[in-house]
Amino acid sequence: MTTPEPLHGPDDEFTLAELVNRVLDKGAVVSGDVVISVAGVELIYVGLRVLVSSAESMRGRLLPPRDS
Amino acid sequence: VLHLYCIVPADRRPADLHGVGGAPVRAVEAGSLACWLSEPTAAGPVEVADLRSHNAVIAAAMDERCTPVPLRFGQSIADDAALRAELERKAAHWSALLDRFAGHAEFGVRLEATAARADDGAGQRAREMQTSAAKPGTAYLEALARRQAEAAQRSQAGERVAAQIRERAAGVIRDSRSEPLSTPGGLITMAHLVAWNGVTTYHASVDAVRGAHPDLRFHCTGPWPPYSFVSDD
Repeated sequence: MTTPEPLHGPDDEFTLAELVNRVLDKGAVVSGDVVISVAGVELIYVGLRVLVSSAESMRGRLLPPRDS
Repeated sequence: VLHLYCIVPADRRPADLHGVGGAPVRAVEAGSLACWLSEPTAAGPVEVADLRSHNAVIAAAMDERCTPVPLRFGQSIADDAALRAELERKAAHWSALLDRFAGHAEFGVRLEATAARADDGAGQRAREMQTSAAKPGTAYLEALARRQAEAAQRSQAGERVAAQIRERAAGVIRDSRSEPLSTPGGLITMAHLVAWNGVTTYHASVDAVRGAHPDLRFHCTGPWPPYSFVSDD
């Protein structure tokens, strides 16, 4: 067996959405007592901020416009 | 405060690896376990590059012999001693996850309706709104109900395809998770825990199901560290 390559498919907005979903929303938490924050900002807020800012910087296509 | 990446067997060491903000990655050991971490760099807004770096460090710990327990981005802990105490407190839990993950990786399938099909839905809604313009309140409620019904239909359609994939690849999928997508045209996102020696069979199974659904777009990703399988639900 060959060593698996850490690849994640084509580098498109769908792959980015899958990355963000996994890295920010999944994954183990070491302790319930650990404050989940980055630079003092709660993760849920950071998550939204990343989604919004990355949507703009990544060709504005991560979050398609809401249909109304 | 330390940035945490993943939990691995104690003998797995990061080799000349740099993580979030370019900080060197090191390991803290506790018994048979180790946690990979780095010192934080200057605080600033979180960038997509940081998420990629986080994932890349965990992916670097992964090969056919070892599949790390990936940690969620954004956790921090005071110091090495606090981390060691936490690792020891739940050592049996982490060891059980490492045993379960060994020889496996996570693969993702994201299902979306083709652009034409998604546009049809939006166009139809716009037309319906126009014809009901005389009663805007009623039109709004009708449109809302219709949208909810469509979302439920998409979710059910996604679940049916997910079941087909699970059935076809039953021999190589050890575990699976799925979530409905709320994006326009989105049906479902699936995660499969697949044995390394079954990856070819897995991809062939997904391709076979894909062939039966020309009206859907299949976005396949992986291998990922098993983010979606760290909880018991």
